Amino acid sequence: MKDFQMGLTVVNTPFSQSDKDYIYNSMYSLTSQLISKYKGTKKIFILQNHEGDWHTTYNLGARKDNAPTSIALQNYKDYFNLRQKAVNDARKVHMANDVYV
Amino acid sequence: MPEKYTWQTMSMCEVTKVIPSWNTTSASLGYPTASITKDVLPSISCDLFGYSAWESVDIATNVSPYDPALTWRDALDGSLDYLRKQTKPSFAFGRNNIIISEAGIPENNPKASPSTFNAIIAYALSEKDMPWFLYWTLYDNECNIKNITVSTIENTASECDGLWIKKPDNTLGATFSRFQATYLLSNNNNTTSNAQFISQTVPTSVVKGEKFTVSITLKNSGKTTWTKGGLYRLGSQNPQDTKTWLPSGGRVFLSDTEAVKPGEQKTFTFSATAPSNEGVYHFQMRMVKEGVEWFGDSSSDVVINVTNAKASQVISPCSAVLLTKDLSYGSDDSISYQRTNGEVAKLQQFLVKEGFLLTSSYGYYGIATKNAVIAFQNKNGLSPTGTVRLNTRQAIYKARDCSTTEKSSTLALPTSSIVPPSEPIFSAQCTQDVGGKYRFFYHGIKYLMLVIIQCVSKDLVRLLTLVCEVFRRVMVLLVV
Repeated sequence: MKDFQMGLTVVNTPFSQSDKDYIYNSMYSLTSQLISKYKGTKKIFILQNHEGDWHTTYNLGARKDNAPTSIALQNYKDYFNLRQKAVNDARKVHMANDVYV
Repeated sequence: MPEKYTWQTMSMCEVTKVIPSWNTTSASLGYPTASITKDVLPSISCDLFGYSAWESVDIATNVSPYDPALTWRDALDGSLDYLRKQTKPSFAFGRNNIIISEAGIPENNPKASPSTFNAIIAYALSEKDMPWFLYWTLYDNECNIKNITVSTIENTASECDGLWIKKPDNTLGATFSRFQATYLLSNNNNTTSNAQFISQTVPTSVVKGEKFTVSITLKNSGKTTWTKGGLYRLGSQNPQDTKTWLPSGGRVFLSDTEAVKPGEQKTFTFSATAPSNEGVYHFQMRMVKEGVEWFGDSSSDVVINVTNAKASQVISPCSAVLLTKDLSYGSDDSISYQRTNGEVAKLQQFLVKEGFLLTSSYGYYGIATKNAVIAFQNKNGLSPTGTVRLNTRQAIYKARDCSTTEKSSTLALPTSSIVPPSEPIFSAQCTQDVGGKYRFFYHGIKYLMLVIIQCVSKDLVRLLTLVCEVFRRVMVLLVV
């Protein structure tokens, strides 16, 4: 399994199908657990990446040689869509009648 | 929290490198335009989009390599507008799904001060109407020695940026104070002090070195009673504790016997002294419990032009506002090379008085001012450009010109619709004596109409003339 700290592998290696499955399943499981465990407590959880742009380049900071790679940008498209889909799916299953107060 | 925000779990997409994607000057300096915002966000969905605003904060601290002409507000405005353009509404938040997800108080960076942070918060929550603001961070992970990335007891305060609630030496940080103040303001208990800004009278132009009188009215909207002995003061802001106007210490005191109870209003009337140098200065005050906390609303920020000579700047209900500069989004009275001469503030005061703008600060031509100008232009049949050029300046001048004297032809001002008394016109139609028992009645009506005519326009005079003629003919018929 790849390093999902969104490090160098994300910059230069496209996600495989197993990577995508891992992302979706991880986010789905986490969301399901949060919803189930904290249902009715009014707690709110935000699943968020940290400053995504720094994970698309080989360096940090505002540098002229710091252009994102096309692979990283595509990986980020996949990652955002998979994460949102997993959250949406988990909400549908676990919060059907409990989405709004 | 509104119902629509009660999703229990949400996904937020955070980005941080946005400026070169929209700011052409930064791109022309060689910084890559490709970014997640430009190349990824248009084709994905997310509940929330977060902008880590440090690249804009860097502009406030003068360490940004990007376009040197950008102000931090330009950078925030441009980046958030671009983010909005590149993203789609979400089911959970609709179009209100963009927030500032990172900014904070690195207290060891003297320019990224609490006041800068407060300004960014105020900007995000009021001007951009954002539902949330995420603070970075309660625990400082940005220390610069020996690859230590989390502050530890081995770090001295100066080795970290200072983003912490408690410093390595166990003293409390600026972050703690900021959140404590927020907690105290939001916590409904008897120790909460609060103040609501009601009104103020502050000149926008004063002569250097001279004293002038200011009055500020605040309402005690908290749970405590303000007394001098309780250390309650009105203190100077912008920057905090400035002695620009109150050289003795930036404080206005209550009298020894005064007690402002919860719910009561207090008008502080005091003498301020203008700085000895000409220029544009901010005037703003806020309540403080000395040594404990600043609390409540700040008074509206007034940009005061300190001049060498007396000049009346008070806009009376019938005082024409003459703007001489072209103004547009980004114009800033505080930037000397723009040479706006305080006209942004003058424009904003006009827009506020005319009801187009609600503002608590003056001097910067931002989105709110642009929208207000567009509203004014629409109302006055002008092209809604959002910029103030000759036509709009003329319309602004005319809007508050209540005089009857002829104006400069270069301003293409209309002639007054008010006409002088028009008795000759009236008399020409009504001089035939109608006589008899109706004479008194006739003259009574005539004089009444003359009085009315003093106050009406030329069109109404014509109407009254017609009425008069009809009346005369009826009288003649009756007499005959």
